[in-house]
Amino acid sequence: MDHVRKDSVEFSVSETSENFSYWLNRPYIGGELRKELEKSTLLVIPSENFRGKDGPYFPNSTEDFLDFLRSNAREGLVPDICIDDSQFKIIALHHDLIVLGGIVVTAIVAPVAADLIGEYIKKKIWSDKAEEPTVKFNMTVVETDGKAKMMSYEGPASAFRKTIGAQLNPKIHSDKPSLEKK
Amino acid sequence: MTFDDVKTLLGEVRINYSIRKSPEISSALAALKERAVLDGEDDAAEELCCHEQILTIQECYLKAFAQMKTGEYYEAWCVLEKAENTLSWLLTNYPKYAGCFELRFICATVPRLQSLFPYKYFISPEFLIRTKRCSICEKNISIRNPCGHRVGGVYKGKICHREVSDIEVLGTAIVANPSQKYSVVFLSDPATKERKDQYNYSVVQYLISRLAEPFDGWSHEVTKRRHPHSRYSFVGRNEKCPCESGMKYKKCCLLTDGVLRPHIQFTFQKKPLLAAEAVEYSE
Ligand SMILES: [Zn+2]
Ligand SMILES: [Zn+2]
Repeated sequence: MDHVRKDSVEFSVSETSENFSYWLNRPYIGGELRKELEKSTLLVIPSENFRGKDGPYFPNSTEDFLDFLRSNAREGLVPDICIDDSQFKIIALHHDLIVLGGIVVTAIVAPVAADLIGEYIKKKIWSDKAEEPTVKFNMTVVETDGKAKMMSYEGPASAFRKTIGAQLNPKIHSDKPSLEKK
Repeated sequence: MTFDDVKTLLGEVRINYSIRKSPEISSALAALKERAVLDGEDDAAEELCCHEQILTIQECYLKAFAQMKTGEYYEAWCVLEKAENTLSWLLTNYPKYAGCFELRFICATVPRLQSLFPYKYFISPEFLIRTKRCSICEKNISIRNPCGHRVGGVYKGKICHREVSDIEVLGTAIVANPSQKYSVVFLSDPATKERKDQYNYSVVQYLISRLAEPFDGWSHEVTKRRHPHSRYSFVGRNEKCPCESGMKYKKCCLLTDGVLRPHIQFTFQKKPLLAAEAVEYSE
């Protein structure tokens, strides 16, 4: 069941073939747009199916999220979104999870991206309410040779930074298996 | 009424809430804002807009308190939801106001009050949105070339939001943590089709009847405690256990010295109204 608020962290890391060139070659990306997207180091990506309905779709918060990334981009982070204006469609879900969807990011800017997203989530928590919001988010980190790993996070907003941060800092966590579940 | 007068009235809400005239404060703020916009003083208009929202938050909280006093619980619930949404807008965009105008008290109290309500499930729709417009410039939203107006930002004294023009409802669901909490699941009377309120509000009632004033402080702690079996003599051994574990009574709490039920302990800052010695609520 994907619609419940979570107290515990669900985190997994898996190999994926969905790197930058996979997304740049999706059928809904035209030649002009592809050239534009090649300059980016962080790509907000859609989901292509929602309960049997063909996408691409983005979560409700995408406009706000991308605006935050654009206005706070730093240290080589060039954010963009993997869609044409005419095909930008949103699914607004019926629960109060903070659904950020997915991003693909180069390994070099991944730590900066994780920091920024952490800041974004922190901004969304406006009070110490009884129940903390749940964040749902995917981040695919692409090495220079095109090899990619996808991290999926679903859990309390406050644990996001630590969980993703630990994964991105291999010096401390070098012995972690590639697939883990806490 | 000057802006300073308004700020004083809003700041002293704890003592003046029953005598201040909110419509007058509201129209004073609107007039001051209109003036500021005409004079091109956008910053002043923004500040006035924030104070309009602060007035809304205070009024919602006071209204909900009064409604709970008179037993209009669902109405109070909706007004609390509005207070929560307005607070969320104000404090994510202008955290500097968190410490003034009793907002700290309201911000802490609203979710605690909500947690005492018996509502657990809500009707919530899912949408597919194809086109949205900016409320400020009225242009359709372009994700690649944004108009520059941010949702929740204040432009010439107006809060920017999105107007959805092409939308499809994909379905509705009953969920525990909806995107908005207005749609409580009620039963309806099959004969009159009228809403039937099947909920038990005794916890809210217990608390509110003991608070003399809206800004009297209180806190609560929820634990579980075993209540004597004599209270549940109407439940058969083979029926479901009153602790709501889903098991049979005889295989659950009947094996122990009582039925495990929520127990709420309230602490009041001032001497509570009514039976002062009974500051515990058990259901
Ligand atoms: Zn605009
Ligand atoms: Zn039991």
